[in-house]
Amino acid sequence: MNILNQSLAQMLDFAAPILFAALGGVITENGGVVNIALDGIMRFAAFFGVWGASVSKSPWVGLLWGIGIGILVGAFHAYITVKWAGNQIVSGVAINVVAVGIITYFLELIFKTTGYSPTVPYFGSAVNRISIPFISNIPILGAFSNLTIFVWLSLFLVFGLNFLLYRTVLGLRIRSVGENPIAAETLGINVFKVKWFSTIAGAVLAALGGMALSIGSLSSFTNSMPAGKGFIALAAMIFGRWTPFGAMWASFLFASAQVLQFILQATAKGIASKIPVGFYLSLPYFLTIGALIGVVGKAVGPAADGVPYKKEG
Amino acid sequence: MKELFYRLFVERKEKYWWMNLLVPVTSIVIALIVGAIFIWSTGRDPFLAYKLLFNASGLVPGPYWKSSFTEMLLSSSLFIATGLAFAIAARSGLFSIGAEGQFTVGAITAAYFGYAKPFAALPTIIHLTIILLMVMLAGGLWGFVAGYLRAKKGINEVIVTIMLNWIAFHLIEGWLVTGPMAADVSTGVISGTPSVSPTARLPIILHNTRLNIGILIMIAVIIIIWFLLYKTTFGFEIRAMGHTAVWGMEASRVQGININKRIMQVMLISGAIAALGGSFITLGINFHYPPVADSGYGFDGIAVALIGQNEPFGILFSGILIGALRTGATAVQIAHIPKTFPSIIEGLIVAFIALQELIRYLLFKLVKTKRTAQTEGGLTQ
Amino acid sequence: MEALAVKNIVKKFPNVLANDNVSLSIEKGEIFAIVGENGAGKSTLMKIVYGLYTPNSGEIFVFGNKEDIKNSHDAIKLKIGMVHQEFMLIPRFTVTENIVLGDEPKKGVVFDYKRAVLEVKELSEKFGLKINPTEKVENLSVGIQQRVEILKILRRGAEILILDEPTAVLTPQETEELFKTLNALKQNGKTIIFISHKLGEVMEIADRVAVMRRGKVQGVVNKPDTSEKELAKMMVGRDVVLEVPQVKVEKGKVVFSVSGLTVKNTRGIIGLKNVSFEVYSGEIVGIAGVEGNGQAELVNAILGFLKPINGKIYMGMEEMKFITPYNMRTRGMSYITEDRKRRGLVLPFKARENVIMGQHSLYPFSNKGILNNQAIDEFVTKKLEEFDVRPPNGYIKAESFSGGNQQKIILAREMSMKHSFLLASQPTRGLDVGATEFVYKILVEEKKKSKGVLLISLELSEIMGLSDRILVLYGGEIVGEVMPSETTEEEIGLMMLGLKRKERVEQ
Repeated sequence: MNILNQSLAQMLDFAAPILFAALGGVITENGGVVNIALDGIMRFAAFFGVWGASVSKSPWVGLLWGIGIGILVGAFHAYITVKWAGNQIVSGVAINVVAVGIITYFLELIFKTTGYSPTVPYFGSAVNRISIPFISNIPILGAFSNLTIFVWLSLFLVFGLNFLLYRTVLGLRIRSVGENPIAAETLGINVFKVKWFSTIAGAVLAALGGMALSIGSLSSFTNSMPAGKGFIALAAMIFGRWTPFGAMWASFLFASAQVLQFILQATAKGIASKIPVGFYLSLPYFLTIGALIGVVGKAVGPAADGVPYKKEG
Repeated sequence: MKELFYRLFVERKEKYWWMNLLVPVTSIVIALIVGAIFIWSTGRDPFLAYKLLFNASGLVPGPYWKSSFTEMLLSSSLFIATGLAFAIAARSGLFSIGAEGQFTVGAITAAYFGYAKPFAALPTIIHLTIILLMVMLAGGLWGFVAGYLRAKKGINEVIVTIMLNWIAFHLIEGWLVTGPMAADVSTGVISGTPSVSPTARLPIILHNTRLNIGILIMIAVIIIIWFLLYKTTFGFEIRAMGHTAVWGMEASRVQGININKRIMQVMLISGAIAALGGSFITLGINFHYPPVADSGYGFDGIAVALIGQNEPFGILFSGILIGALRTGATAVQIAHIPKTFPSIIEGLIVAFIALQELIRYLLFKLVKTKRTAQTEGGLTQ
Repeated sequence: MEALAVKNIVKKFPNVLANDNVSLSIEKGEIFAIVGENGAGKSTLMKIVYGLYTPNSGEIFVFGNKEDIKNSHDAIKLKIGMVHQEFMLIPRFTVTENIVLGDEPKKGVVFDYKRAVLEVKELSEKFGLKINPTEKVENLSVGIQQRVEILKILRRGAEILILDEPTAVLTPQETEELFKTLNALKQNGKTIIFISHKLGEVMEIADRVAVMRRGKVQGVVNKPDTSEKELAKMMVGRDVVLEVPQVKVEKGKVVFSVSGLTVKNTRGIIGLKNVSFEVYSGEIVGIAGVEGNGQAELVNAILGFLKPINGKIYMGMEEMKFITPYNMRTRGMSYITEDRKRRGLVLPFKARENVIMGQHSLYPFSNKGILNNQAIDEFVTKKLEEFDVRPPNGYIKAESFSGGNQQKIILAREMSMKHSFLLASQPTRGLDVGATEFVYKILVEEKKKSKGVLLISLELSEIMGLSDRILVLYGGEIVGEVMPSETTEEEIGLMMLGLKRKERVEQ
């Protein structure tokens, strides 16, 4: 039973960064703005979270710094794509490329290192974990007995975002803008405002994903972060058909395959132990393609997703 | 000049034809200025940084020009490959981020056919031809999978290409390079695959440098792709698909284009070109496949394509620009600036390309006030 | 009392002066019609009033006060509502969500959907506009969708209702229904601005009529003081006779047929039920019906975009097994579509590329896959002249041409392709009188050349005037087959609503 709980907890841990970013994609794209900048935003926030935590010696301040940079980068994306109706993919690529350069620059400038930042206070440390000891031996439920605040937050946000999108006035308006901005405009909805909001909100979620990698579970920033997780989140969002719960299941799929690969590698005996590590590592991606062929098929996003909105006349 | 521009960019005949040139150029200039402000704000000397960067980039003649110029071309040919791979897919309305994986597939394929025994004894010309064909076949297949799934199953090519990148990465580094293709330590190669045979090395075209025929092959590919796009029925059809992609390529289908076939062909070509770039790293720079590959060429290719406005000849220039920035990158370390600094510039250029609307607006305003001043309201015809 | 007045409105677009010093005054409680051809500037003027366009100069007065309407939000506040020609609805949302969007009942931040449904119910009962509040809009017929649009603006408390070409997609009976609604709203004290180019309807419903031509107001007349003929003359600037020359052509062989065709649409609903008919060479077969009764499914099945769950499609005698546009075209089909932007043209392509598209891989336009620009230019220049495309410059992008000229580019392409069967799907939708006449001429010429034509149209007068035989589609079924000489618009109208059936006439 312990192994099950452990694996489940590990899965939730792996899933959190992807899930945050995928949720960020969900809200941004439901508002009609394509967001391939998830990877870059994650990188920005992963670093800024660590920076903030290092300056203040508090992970909470790091969290605020990370959210702050998320807002800034989101605003940059919105300025280009909403204010100037620029190409959303081009803008996203720009953010990703800038993120690679600028964060390495900052790493050397601020911490005088090239590969890793020094360790900082983080949310994965024993004191900062949310411990619920009395459930730790219950099957399945026990997986939730010692998680980080980031994992809990990622799960709550699935419900929160679902509520926002499908139960609130703002959510209705966001979706209307992603489906038919002209119709929304004729009803007096400020399309630009809504797009600014959904783009920045999405960037903040992606920023949380970035921080889930650094101050969320590790005590430092490594220069390879987020190692393409933003693109996996993009895939999870499409796979999950642009819905919060869909994104959650897709993130779980990626994370489970990762955990499965660890278990298989650790417990493999005989022929199985001779299977190269690359096979285990590539398993989740094969699974995803398989799932797309078998189950999901054509994914249909918001009708006006990616179409720059310009007011005529 | 105007006529030449027309010829290279037949598609873009328009009133302000120079706009298509001016917008990227302006973006580059503004990006350099913003980059300078950034360096200055972090307490470094921007003038020194740019001096070091450009002196070592191969763009400006100087003391070690021959070496930096050839190094620049060497790196440019890689960016041109992945840039073209993205562009040809983009022109057909496909969003492929698979160049990264196809690039590494090309590199490993080149390594295998470069050292594998039965081939290693062949004369260079035959050996190289076989290698490059196999490279294009392997990379093409990698792209074709995404094309096939999109065409036949309607699966979003974005996800599939992302997945294929990871699959390529893990299978190569977690299996091939450490397993069946790992070098025997006794051969003198410390890690990665064995070295390719001398007959598999790309011939050097400039004495005493590493510059090889890779750049010439890439220029030939640019010309071929340009010809394909603008002079053939195939190009006619894929451009139509690209223009109608927002509407599910409906108009293209209705007019009788077999879009499924074309999608698969385009992805195959795209993969083949990216793989070709990957093979240059093995056959012209490293001469074996390292245990941990230099990556990022695929993603930078997207930026290169965007700066080059997805035009084959535009990519020639943007590829050279990015290659130059990367070549000069190590030099900026002297000014205590990390060598990834050029990717900040690269990203900023792309950002200003995304802000075309703003730049066009500003440029037009500039032109208009000038013209109006000259002709006194001559615009109100 | 004056409800709305515009004074000296000027609106310039890059290539055209859409409103040239327009002034109008509209009284409260009247039905005021604005007529004019497509492109006369009616819609532009109304979009200015509704805040969607900003005029270059001019003033707007609402209930006597000068107002600056910057966006639709301002217009809504001033109690102006607009039903657009292309409905502003979100197909994936429910009727209720569409109606309350932008002014939602809420509990805190939560959207109170239950209350919204109740409010919509009340509203629909109050104005006698029946709808199902929880149905998704994508499942509604066009007539009902229009009702949703009207309810949407009534809910905002609109006092001035602008309807842009509201009858374009309705049956005669649905139009009658709409007119009843409009009259009831007028009794309620609402002001209605009715934009149309159908003069018969205008004469029926309007109190006063303004005529626009080329961005200018030609005049405003009281209905009792004018006639359809006079309005037409003001509108076009010359006498209009939109009459189709009656040509009798000997019927030949079957060029196209379908048998037992049953098609599910993209929503998984059966949109076409067991439909069978033939098209002979030298005849025009008209398909009448209200939009959404199977026309789209029929066209998409013929193009291969929808796979029939039953039935067969034949070109000539050959059964088409693998249906793709390419296969249909190589067997001799040409296709004119109403959806020029999505289907008919590659908008960013130049006119020349659009004209040869589809035959681009044939000699002389290309040889072994390589394009021959000289041959293309020669051909295109000839065709653009022949089809009177203005301007006759092949190097201009298709998107820069007017709707009528875009359709001529499509005609130039489709007519120059070798074909025996022409599928014409609402070929005159959105065209002005001149271009419409041109299309009619082409269709009749096709008949003379012994081609078979399948004409799908929502305009009953068009079907009646051009067809040799009329099939009526209702609910995806053919509910009647009649000869135009032996029927009336009323009879077909009843069939279009499914209230009457008529067996096939024996050949």
